[in-house]
Amino acid sequence: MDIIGIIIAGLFSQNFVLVQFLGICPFLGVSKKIDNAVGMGLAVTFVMVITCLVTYPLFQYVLVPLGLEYLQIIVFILVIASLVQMLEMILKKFIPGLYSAMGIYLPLVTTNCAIMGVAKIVTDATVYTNIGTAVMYGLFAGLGFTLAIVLLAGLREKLDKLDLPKPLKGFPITLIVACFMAMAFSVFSLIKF
Amino acid sequence: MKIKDIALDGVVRQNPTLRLVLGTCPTLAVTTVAFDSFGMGLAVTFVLICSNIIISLLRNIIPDQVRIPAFIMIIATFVTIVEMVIKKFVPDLYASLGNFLALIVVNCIILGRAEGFASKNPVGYSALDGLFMGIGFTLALTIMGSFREILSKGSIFGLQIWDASKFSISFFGTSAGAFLTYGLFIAVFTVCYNAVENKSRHKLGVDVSVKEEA
Amino acid sequence: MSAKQFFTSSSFKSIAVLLVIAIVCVALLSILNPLLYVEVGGMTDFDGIIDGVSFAQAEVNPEFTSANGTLTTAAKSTTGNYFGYIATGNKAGDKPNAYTVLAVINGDTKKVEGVKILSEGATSSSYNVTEEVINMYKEIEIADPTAFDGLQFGAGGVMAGATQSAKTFQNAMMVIAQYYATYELGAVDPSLEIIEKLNALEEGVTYEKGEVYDYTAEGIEVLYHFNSSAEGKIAYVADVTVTSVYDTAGKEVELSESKTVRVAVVYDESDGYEIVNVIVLSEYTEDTVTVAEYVESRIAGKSETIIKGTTTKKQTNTAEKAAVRLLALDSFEYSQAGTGKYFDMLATVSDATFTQVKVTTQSTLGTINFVATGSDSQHGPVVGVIVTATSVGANPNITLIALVSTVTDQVVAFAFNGDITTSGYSPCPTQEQLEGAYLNVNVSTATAFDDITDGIVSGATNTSDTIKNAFKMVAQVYSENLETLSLGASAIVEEIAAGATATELKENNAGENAVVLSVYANADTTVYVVYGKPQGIASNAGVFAVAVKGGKITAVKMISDPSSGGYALSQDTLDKYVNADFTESGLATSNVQTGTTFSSNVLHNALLWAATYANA
Repeated sequence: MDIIGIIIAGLFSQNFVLVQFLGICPFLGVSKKIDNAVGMGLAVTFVMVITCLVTYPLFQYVLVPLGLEYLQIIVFILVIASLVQMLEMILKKFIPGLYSAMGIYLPLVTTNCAIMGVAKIVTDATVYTNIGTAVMYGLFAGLGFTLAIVLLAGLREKLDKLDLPKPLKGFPITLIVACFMAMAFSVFSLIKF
Repeated sequence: MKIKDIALDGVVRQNPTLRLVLGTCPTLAVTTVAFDSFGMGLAVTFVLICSNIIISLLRNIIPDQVRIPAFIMIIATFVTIVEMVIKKFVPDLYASLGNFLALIVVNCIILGRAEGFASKNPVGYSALDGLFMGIGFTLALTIMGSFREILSKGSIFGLQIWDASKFSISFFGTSAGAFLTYGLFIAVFTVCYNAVENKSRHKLGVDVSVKEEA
Repeated sequence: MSAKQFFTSSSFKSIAVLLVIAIVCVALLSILNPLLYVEVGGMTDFDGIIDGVSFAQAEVNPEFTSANGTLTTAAKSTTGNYFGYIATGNKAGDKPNAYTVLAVINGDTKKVEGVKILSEGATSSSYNVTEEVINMYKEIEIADPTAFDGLQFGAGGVMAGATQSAKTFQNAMMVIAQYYATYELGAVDPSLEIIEKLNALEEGVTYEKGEVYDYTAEGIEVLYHFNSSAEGKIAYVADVTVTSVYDTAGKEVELSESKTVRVAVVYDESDGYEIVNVIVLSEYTEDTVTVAEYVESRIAGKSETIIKGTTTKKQTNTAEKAAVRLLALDSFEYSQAGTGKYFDMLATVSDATFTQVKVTTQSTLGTINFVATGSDSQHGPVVGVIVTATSVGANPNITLIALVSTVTDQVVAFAFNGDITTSGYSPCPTQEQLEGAYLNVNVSTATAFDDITDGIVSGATNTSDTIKNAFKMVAQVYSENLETLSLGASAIVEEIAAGATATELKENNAGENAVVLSVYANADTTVYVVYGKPQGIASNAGVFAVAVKGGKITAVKMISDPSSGGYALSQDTLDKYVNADFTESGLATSNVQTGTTFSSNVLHNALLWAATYANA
């Protein structure tokens, strides 16, 4: 995969939320306000990059040569959980500004399909031939997630002001809006590189 | 605690998909066809039951400060097992579920029940809780999957009901359709649930008032 | 805190519990993994390779075998014309695992359209087969089983820098191409049929396909080359274009239309260059064309090709017989083409024109590739020995080109084939270390190098040891063939100056017409061994030993005769120099044998130079 391909895929044609259905929980849960959405998006992107950075070599250079691929779920999830924990502590102590911007979302990020999902996606070594491409994909997938969640937050802030029938309030209307966003993003899958 | 309560909670009152809106990722991803939805539901149920049992058994041994990593390891083990089994015995399902089998490990439902129920309740109840939560999840997913499959392909569980070229709304097979279906189902379920709730509350209210008078 | 406190503290308990859970979980999975192991390469892997095309399993022909791996699954598409295969290729080099590859071939274009790697041979992902590499395979039309055989590796070709992975992957693809071409296209690798016929010729001798020698000849196109299990035997197949035949009266008759005949020749290089067998592969009405029908001697250099049997051109009255004769005549040249690379290697250490010498020496340390003698302008008569020492460790095999003076029986020059200091080789001894250890060592005994430690680089012994083994092989070859190779100079020196031992050579030992090769001395006599450069028809190396005592020549002996035919230098001629002053003027008056001026000149030049050298 070349750089342009990765960028387009991460942001649009393989958008984690709207195309691959990864990271829906935070997408639905933390998209009421744009500020929160940005924070969440940053946290997710950050963790995705670091996850790829760690799990890719761990999988390719440790698990595969030792024939231990079947341990990948356990190993990945533990690595991700520990990484996020460490990240939170480091941020809190050393970069309090950043911590206040996104630190509170970090625990939510741990048990998140998006992170585990990206870790699993980059195990495909025929596409992600080196750690560079893996990390790039993580970065742009995270940015794609951020894009989607911020867009949704923008739309929801407007929606709040509408008077909707009770059953539609909350999740249903969010999902319906997401449906339209997905339709828009599906155009990008027509772009081939 | 009555078994009836656990059952009702799992399937209806706290249906993970339609009430709690947990585990949304697989819900959207695998409900394109009923067979995949059902398969995913069963897989999640299996993991739920097993992890609930183990975690309940170990609930007094696992120290509080490390409970999350411990739960995660146990859940991850069962997810790996279920993945291995499906890969071996139902390879078609393995191919269509893809990465989402592995993602069961981060399914909020399982960790949520482990944390919220199994770590505080005896084994028997925990197992039942896992079972009924799983049933609730499977039911919700299968119904949504059938809905989408019938409308987009004219079949259900692979059985062709009508010729898709004559009538089909292929929109429901797309990702946008997934969002729409899910949103609609939640809305509809909420309406039904509220209606039933109100009815039973009315009933209770009448009874109470009658008792009081007497 | 105290030990008891620690062991009951919550931190310890937490860690302990976590560890136990982790161990139990991993153990459980490790047990279940082999039980639930799924054979890589099921039908589900075909899904999605080509959009909208699904596959149904097809039977794999049990007769199919491939030298490159195994075909595990075959599939045919339910829609369209696609063929799917899963094959596992043999591991190349140090790859720990083999590649299992799924390829879908479009039956209409006969090209690979989809590829999926199911399990990989790489030890690290940077050596994985990339999209670009796979695309190269997709561009090749599979017309016959050898479609993927000739892929180039290295820069610009199929994967630079990771050739073992590339070859492992190629093996898998080759199996697929072979199966597809054989069973779907019906194309059979023709060389397999030929191998069957060759194997049937002699009991216990089998053949396998090898690389065709780099050789061109008019009217002859070599198609296949086969190496045999018998030492020295090769077989090759060529298309011979015949333009004329001989009629029963022995008259040459031109064919109205030239005919191309395919002939297989079995050729024995080991002991006298013989054609052993010939098979006419083209359609032919007579049953056999035996080698016995031809005899012609052919002189090429100092070797002969002998085609045994009864003579006469009458036997070439058919195009097929003519083709056999033409190919048989050509066979010596072809066999020598295989040795061309060795002559090139020798050229890096010597300017001599070499002639191959056949030796039967075998070594456990590696392969003895080539031995040839010649006359070097600087060292005189030399023998070039090329050996490939098997690697002792992680380093590759090392091919050593050694030049041994047949006068002094010492190694006078050496070189290695290919660069042996690049990465992948353990650190190599320096040129100085190697020269110090191995140059000028007398190799008339096989144990000449046994005590060498100077060339061994401490801490990185693999390359050093392999180099030492290579030299030991050279010593073995030379010492075992001492009678045929060595000129026996030391014995002659001993004859004219008993007990003389070698002394150091001065720097300017090489003159215009002669070179002093070695000097020996005992108490009163000094012996100079001199090489006289060829003059005219005295084209061989002339080597003489001249003993000098008290400034006068006491004896002159010939170690190697410079004459190449005609009059040889006699001992009488040599004796004419005895008692002459060992100076330029002293020698000038000595007699020169008439009739053999060239040889005499060689001798005279040699003695003159020796005197100049001695008195310098």
